[in-house]
Amino acid sequence: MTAVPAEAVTVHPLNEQSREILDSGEAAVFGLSPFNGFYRPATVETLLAWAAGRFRHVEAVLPGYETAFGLIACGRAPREAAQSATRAVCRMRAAARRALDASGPNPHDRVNSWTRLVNRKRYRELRAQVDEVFRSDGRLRELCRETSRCYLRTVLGGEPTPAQIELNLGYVLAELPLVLDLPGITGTRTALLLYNRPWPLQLALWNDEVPALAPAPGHGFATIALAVEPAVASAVEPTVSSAVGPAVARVVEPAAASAVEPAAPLNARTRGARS
Amino acid sequence: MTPSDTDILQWPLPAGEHGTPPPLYATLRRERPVCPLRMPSGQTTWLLTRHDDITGVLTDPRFSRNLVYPGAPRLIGEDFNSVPGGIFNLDAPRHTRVRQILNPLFNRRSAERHSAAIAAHAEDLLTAMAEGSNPVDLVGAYTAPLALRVSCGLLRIPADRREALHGCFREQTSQNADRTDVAAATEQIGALAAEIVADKWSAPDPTEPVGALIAAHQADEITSDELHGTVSYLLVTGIEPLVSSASTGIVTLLRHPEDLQSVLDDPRLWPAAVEEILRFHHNGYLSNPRVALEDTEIRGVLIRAGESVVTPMIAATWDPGHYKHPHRFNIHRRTDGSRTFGAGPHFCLGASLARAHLRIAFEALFTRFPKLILAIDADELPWDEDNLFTRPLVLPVAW
Repeated sequence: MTAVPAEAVTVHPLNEQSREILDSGEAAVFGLSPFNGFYRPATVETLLAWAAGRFRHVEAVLPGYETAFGLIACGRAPREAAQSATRAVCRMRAAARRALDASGPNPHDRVNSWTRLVNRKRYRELRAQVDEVFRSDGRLRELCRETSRCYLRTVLGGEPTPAQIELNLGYVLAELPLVLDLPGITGTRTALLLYNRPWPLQLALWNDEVPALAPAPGHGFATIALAVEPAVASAVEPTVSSAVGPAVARVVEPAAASAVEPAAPLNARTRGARS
Repeated sequence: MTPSDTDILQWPLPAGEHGTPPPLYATLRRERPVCPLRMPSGQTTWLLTRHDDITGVLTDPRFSRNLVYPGAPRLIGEDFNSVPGGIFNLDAPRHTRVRQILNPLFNRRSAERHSAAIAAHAEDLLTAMAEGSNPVDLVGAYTAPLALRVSCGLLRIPADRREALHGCFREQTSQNADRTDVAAATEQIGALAAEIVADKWSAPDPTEPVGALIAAHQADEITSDELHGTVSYLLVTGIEPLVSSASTGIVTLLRHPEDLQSVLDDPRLWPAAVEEILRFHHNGYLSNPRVALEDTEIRGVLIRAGESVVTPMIAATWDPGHYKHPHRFNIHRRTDGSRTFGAGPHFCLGASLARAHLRIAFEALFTRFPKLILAIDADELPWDEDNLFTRPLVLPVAW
């Protein structure tokens, strides 16, 4: 892997806690979105190479099988949607593994879909907790449905049906553990989730809107962007779906400018420096 | 035991891909077929990896399954191997006595009698699946509830009572739990067994296993320990091993589309497919230990009286001396999967039922959903690394 200078990537921590975690340099976890135009193979390789020089532990997470739900909501047949999602995840996984190959042991174990993360106990615990809170907390249900609705509205070009919103919820819920306790999932003391933009559901959790689901003390979030954008950064994917993160961020968009703006446009409360 | 610490492998060994055995077994079979292995409990045992050594121990009365004594070998702690009177923890003649009571309820004819119920449960679950989410997790939608319903139907106990202790059953077969938690889980399962026995005590039905054991105890044919310990054991063995074999088998069939297509084209091949799945996968990579009753030599290694051996059946069914190219899944083999069920007096009591269960479960699934595919790359399946039973924790499929 070619060394990537520190200034090649800009990173904006969400809050003070995230900044401290970034500065500690312990662990970075990239959310990779196969259908998000920002995450082209060359970008993924640059990001991971950059992180390898800055963090002692680097992982990448890809969406799980629930990716297909977004495609199905847009009218694809389930079998075809599953095949399409699988191919997209595999392509991005290959790029990430190539990038991590030179940066340390076991690249295969450090690039996982969140379906594969089910074999980590902490992910399972968090997934069960998310389901439980989803049943009991109206605000979480509202936030998740809104996340699903916003995404579908964008890709459908119109208002989705309640059934479409419900179908795509599987994706939103499976993703949530990754915004709650990455240190628990990666087995590190602290860990920073890196994505190319924040999204409302995640910010709502940082803002304590769902008290039963608060990001863990060692968990942080930062937006990342390439300081120099690739020439064809605005390539737009016609289809949908998927990303760690935001169903809304699954919409493909020009990769650049917005990601280098200060993060935390909502008044994300700084959770004191508990790490 | 004499080997130095540096010679001793540590369990668990890294598993193979897609539910296949630890690759190290092949090396050990060639180079060190009797190898010291340290269990998470800290105790050391001897790991055997050759087919003939494994079957030799299982059929040798100098190796005992009675592990109900202080300091007996354990994976972690006081699991079901520690339950007094459990059929799997008995040697002859006590084992023979208990086994004779249960044999008629688990033989091939009995399995045939239960086939209609297995098929009905399978159809019921598949109908619900067809009307529900697509993609879906097949473990949650099919393989786990099917095994639960079938086993509870066989034992005639309410499924919700068994399911309420699901966490305990997982804890008891964990590879990395705390030993205190393992002991507590065993105790809770024992308490459930006692409740079930108490519920059936006044009018035991000898045509089902629990009733037959109660009747035998009431007729002074078996002891109270043998009754309760064996009921406790039946609660463990009827479900998790089948979830493992069914789930892993489905993954394997989906990963081998040519073999699957052969069976779909000619359903008479289902029994052969089941046999190959049984050979290719055991429900776990390890076995319960056996203890040498006297000094015994295997391949020049002295196993002293009191030392234990473990005899993984999947090491036997992947022995190239008995199965050509064992790493290749091939439903057209002439060999069968019997060896996966063990050998000797403890040959799996539920072998016929397991065969019927798997055949019906696979055939019903793929007949209803012939276009079934994995809804994620096979490399992304989350294999359960915490538990003795080999299985994907989630099995996403689409159709």
